Amino acid sequence: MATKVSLDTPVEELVEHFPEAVGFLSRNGVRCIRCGEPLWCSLGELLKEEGIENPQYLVEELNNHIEKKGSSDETSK
Amino acid sequence: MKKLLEKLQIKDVNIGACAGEGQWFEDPQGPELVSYNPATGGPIAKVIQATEKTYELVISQAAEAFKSWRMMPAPQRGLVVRDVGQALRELKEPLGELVTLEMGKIKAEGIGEVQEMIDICDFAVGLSRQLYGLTMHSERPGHRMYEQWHPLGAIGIITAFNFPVAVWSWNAAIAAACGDTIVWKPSSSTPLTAVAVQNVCNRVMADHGLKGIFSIVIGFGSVVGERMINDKRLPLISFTGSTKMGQRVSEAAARRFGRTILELGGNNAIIVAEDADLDMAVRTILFGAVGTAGQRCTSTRRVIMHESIASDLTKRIVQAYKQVRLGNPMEEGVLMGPLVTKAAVEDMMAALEKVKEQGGEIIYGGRQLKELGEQFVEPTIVKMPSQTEIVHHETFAPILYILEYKDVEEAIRLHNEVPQGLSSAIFTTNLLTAEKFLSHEGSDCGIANVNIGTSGAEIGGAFGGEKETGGGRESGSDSWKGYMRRQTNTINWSKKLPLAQGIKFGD
Repeated sequence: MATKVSLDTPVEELVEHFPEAVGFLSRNGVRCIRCGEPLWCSLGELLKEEGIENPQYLVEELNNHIEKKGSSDETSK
Repeated sequence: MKKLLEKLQIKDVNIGACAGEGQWFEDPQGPELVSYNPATGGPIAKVIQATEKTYELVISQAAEAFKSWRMMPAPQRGLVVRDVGQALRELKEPLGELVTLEMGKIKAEGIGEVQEMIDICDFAVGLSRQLYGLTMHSERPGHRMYEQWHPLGAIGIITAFNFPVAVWSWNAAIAAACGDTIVWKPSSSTPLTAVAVQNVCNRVMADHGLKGIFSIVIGFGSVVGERMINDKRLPLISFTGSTKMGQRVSEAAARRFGRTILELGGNNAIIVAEDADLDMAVRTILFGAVGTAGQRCTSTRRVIMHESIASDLTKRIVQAYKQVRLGNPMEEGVLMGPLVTKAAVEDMMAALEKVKEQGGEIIYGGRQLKELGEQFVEPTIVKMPSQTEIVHHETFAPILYILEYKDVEEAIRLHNEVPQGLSSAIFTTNLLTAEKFLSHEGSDCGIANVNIGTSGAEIGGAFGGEKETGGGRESGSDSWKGYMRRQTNTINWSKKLPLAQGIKFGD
């Protein structure tokens, strides 16, 4: 599986290209990343701020989730 | 759609950085942003976003323009704002339709939003002759003390998608009358309405031989937004968005001793007392919870109802929800359109999973309506056994939580238990209950209403909230003071030099 998202991915790009990430993160305790305006930080910064213990693992799980949901860069601009 | 865009001078590809007529700054390196219609998923038009280079050009112009704008007498500035209001009047319908097209609120609400822009321009015209300072009696003989209000500078306005133009106008019309110049970063979900408004401003400013008063920078928050909040040339940042983003903005501005006006999350509740007019309450709850698909800062998210009327009121609300027509927000009769993005749908569905985990019962709605389009959802009512963690959280979607209470003290405790403090309301015909709700031990919100809902504020009042809502105030009343700097002046018209507090020093 190709990595789609990394800790360096800006949250703005994440929300735009992989909207399914919003639900996944919310279920894992990282909420409100898009209310009004998507957060301006990277995913890594966000996970650190939220106190996620193993951010790399969560990102891997997120990529698995995106893969399963069938997102592709075709949905990206 | 083409005709609508033409009326507003929206092209297929637009430029995202502008400081006035003939002052559109394009950087070929600027990334392209496509604006989509949330009802259909189809593209509307594109914007070439601002880059570091074009941001600099805009800010420089705004800072330079401030030097002359601040010297124009305030009533004359008011007349310029009046002309902006007039130009908006002429384009009220198409601009309202563009709001609907780009963010998905129904047409009546889109046009209502433009009316709000017109109203605040009218307010600002009058305000331009009322930027009053106080006069104080000096304790020293032969002295006069007073305070005056001076313009602040070029200010930054960062707005969200849900009110793509009204929130800008609450800030911009007032700030302009106060003598500030304005740099606007709109939401990346609604760039075209910003371009349309910039076109209106450009025409009016050109008529007055002005530029650099109203500017836009459309771009990534991590590129343009971060520069704005850290930019010492912007002494004030007015930010509308989430609590999390508000913290980031607040910290960055504070590090450079910049000011902020923050309008962040809301978790607004209506208390319905046992003596309330339930017909009125139901209509209000419906508008508050379903209007703008639950994506207003002031959307009604909780109804705290007296246990004696809970069953009846819940049935009535469900009945009212059944009447809500969903569909293309441009169509007459539709009451709820789509959510703004696919991510918003994801957010709502994840919240509903949490609701179930925490003992909530979905008594109406809860589903995505793919048959209408990817971004349509059912307005949803959830009965909660208690005010659990998910209820404390603002989900920017049409989810209404129903809670019950036994006495008014419990109702107020539940009401104030959440971290946000924007808007609140009570429905009661008991004067004592109403006054208690409005008292020091009542609602802890910036807005507290009786027999009227949480959303749909008028421009004449100060708009904003407490706690995690951020404490800022925009729009009417004396919110203008946030856009100016106060200067205290003491003038000695005597031939002596007395010191305050009667101090003798080398006499």
